[in-house]
Amino acid sequence: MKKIKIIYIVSILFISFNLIKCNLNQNKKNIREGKSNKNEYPKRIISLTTAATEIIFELGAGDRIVGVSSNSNYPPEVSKIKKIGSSYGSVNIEMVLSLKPDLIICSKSQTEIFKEYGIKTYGTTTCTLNDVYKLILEIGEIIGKSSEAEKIVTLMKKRINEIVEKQKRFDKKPLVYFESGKTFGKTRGKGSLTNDLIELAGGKNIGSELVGAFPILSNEFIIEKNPDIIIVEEYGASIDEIKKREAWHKIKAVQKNKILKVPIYYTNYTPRCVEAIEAFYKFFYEEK
Amino acid sequence: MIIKVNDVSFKYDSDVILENISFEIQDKEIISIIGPNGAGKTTLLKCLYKSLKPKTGSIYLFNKNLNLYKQKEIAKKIGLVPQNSEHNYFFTVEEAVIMGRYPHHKKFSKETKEDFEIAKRNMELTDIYKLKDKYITELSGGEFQRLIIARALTQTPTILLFDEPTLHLDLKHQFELLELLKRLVDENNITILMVLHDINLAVRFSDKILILSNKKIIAYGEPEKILNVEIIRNVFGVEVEINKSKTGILNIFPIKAV
Amino acid sequence: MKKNKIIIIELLFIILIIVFFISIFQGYSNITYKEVIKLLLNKIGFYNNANLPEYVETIIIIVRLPRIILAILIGAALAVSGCVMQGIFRNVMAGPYTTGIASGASFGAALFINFGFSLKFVTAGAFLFSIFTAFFVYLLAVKNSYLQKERLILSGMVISLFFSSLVSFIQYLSSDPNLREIIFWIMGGFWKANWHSVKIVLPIILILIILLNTYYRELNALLLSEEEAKSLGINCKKVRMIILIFSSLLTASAVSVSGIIAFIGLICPHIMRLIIGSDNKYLLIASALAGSILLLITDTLSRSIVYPVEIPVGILTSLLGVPFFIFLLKRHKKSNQIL
Repeated sequence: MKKIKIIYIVSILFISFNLIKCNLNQNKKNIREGKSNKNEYPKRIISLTTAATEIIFELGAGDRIVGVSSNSNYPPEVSKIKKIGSSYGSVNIEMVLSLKPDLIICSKSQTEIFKEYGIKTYGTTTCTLNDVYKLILEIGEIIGKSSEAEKIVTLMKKRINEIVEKQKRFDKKPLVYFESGKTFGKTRGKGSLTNDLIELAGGKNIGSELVGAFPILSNEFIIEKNPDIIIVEEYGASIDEIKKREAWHKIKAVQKNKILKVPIYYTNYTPRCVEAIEAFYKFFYEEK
Repeated sequence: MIIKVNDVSFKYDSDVILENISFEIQDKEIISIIGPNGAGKTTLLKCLYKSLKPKTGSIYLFNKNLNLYKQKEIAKKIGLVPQNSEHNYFFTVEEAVIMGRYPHHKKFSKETKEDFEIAKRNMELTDIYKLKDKYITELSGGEFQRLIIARALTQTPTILLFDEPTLHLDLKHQFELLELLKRLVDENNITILMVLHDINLAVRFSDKILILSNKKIIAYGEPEKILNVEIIRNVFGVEVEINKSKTGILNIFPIKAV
Repeated sequence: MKKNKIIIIELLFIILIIVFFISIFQGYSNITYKEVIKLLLNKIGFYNNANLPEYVETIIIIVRLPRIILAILIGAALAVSGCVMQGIFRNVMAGPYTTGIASGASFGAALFINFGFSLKFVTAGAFLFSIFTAFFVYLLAVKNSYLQKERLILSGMVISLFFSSLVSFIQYLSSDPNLREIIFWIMGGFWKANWHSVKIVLPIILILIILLNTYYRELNALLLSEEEAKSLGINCKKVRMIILIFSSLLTASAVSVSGIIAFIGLICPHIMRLIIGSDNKYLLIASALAGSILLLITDTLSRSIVYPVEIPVGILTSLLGVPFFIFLLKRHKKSNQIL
């Protein structure tokens, strides 16, 4: 027992000493084979958020993307790109390093990890519509497509303004209840992109009365508010299920069959969110 | 004089368990504590190895106040064989017995060859050495009892305390145990204090008897001198006959309850 | 018999080394065994003509090695902590999280994540709140300056529930990205392992495990009844308190770095008890080694079964650990409430 203990302790000390020694040399090492010029724009981009992926393609730089998040599906070209992980949860670091990226777009908290490997990172913190503009412009700047980015943002603002002008004419704004995902009562509140979309399209989001961007509403609250419009995401409850909910037959939206199912990308932080505003406006005011 | 108990009383919250307990124990004696249930016998034992602190009075161990002793020091001098012991653990007999050496070790010392020798001797004494690698879960009641005794002996104490050691043993093992105890006192200079429920065994194997009843000491002394029919009637509520056998041993024969 | 136990421990040690090497060879990048060996020998001081591409060094030394070392350390920490908790409480179901540390750590992490702090602060926050929770639980459990076991378990449960609901509340208020981050933190995992964490956690865990090992006598005696422990010279109150403090520190260190990994602390001591017995002289080390081996295997599996997905470690630990434990239990027929 004593002999084994001594060997054990000595070998641990030996190994730890050497490993700590080699760590001291690794700290600031540049892992890329062939360093990139600071003046060049990133050529090998890994994007872990579907929004950034879409934006980069929109900016015409889609061919520079070498890795995307596992749930990427737009544009169709992403199916050919390697799937790496996601912006929440974990990423396979070895896969990342094997792609030799010079830019990683990920969540704010993930940037710490990648910085350790000397890779340039951009952490996303998008919440509102203004954040979406910011995201497009900042990504554009980083990859050297600033003018294209500005064009996109300008076009977005133009389309949105058209809708805003149209809906201004109406005094009475419909009350809107937006249900996200599969959870009953989970909605978007002030400070969320969805809220901006609804309000710009001329609706009044009942979720905006509560605290936080992702509040959960109670059944009584929704029924009491009696929304004129219900918007539900494509992976959420079906329209029939909603109509059958207890006491919901009292709600105006159910009575008038004003329930809209929307695709997920409507509320993602991409230029396509403008489609949401246009579709919402149409559903609020033009469709019967 | 090994132990001196001086006017000790013990209360548990407001329940008085012991009152004005005073007695002395000399070395190389076997003393039995007898009395009806609930008289406070186990409580008294617990006070002797500082598991409980008396509310009034003091106990002296080797002329030093028990309060001044650390638990470890007491453990080097007093060994306990309790009434019940957990044996649902995967200890081998040897591992369980060697625990008796714990009070003799400081933080960073290991069990030595001598420790294992002491354990071995005591296991042989209690006839369990052949079981030394068996797990204690596989032992019979009697074997387990002997293990606890071996462990207590391995503390190399000067005093052994027993709480109802004969409770779970059959007649043969009861006698074997008590004869072993007598041998220990004679050969190993040990003093034994035991709580017994069987008066006859107490009489047969003790030098002195302490009768504890209703929180107080009723009598304390050599069996022949202190035992008589009245005392037993008052304390135990039983009418008895006291005879002497052919071999000169005192025998208490219960006749009827009163 | 004693020799057998020592052989078992030596065997565990050898298994650990084998698993270490398997793990270090395992990974997405195409690195051959030869390259790995060359690199390791180079790092220890031999074989200076290595000539290896840079990425090999990066992958092995920066990506895989800290993760492996962390898994070993944390597996050992959780197993030892669980072992001593089971001993002090004389309860089969006790484990490293019995005193509510898990929920306290979750709360600390959730709070700091929600405020947007960096990883280092989240770790510190988790640690801080673990200790605070443990302290709070002790306070609740002390009555008449006497720490009762049953009260401790109860107050641990109560405080756990309290902090869990606080965590739910924070989750409710968080943005979606933060929410996912919190959930992922709580599930536990090593994908963020780096040398920084290793440097912080290594000395703490090693020292605490060594310290707890010196208490093997007290731990053994505490398994007996209170009276027997006292008669063997153990100051039960003091010893329990010390061991609780060490165990809490151990758990807190582990949890603040890797999140809440379940089952290791509960299962490994039980498994080793059935193999090596209850004597803490051997059991503590054996549990530590078993914990390291189990966690290392599951972490390596979690990052190499499916690419690029990483299966949360906690799921794998229960998948592996529970059936094995059932198997052992069935073999050992006399087993009810055994410690």
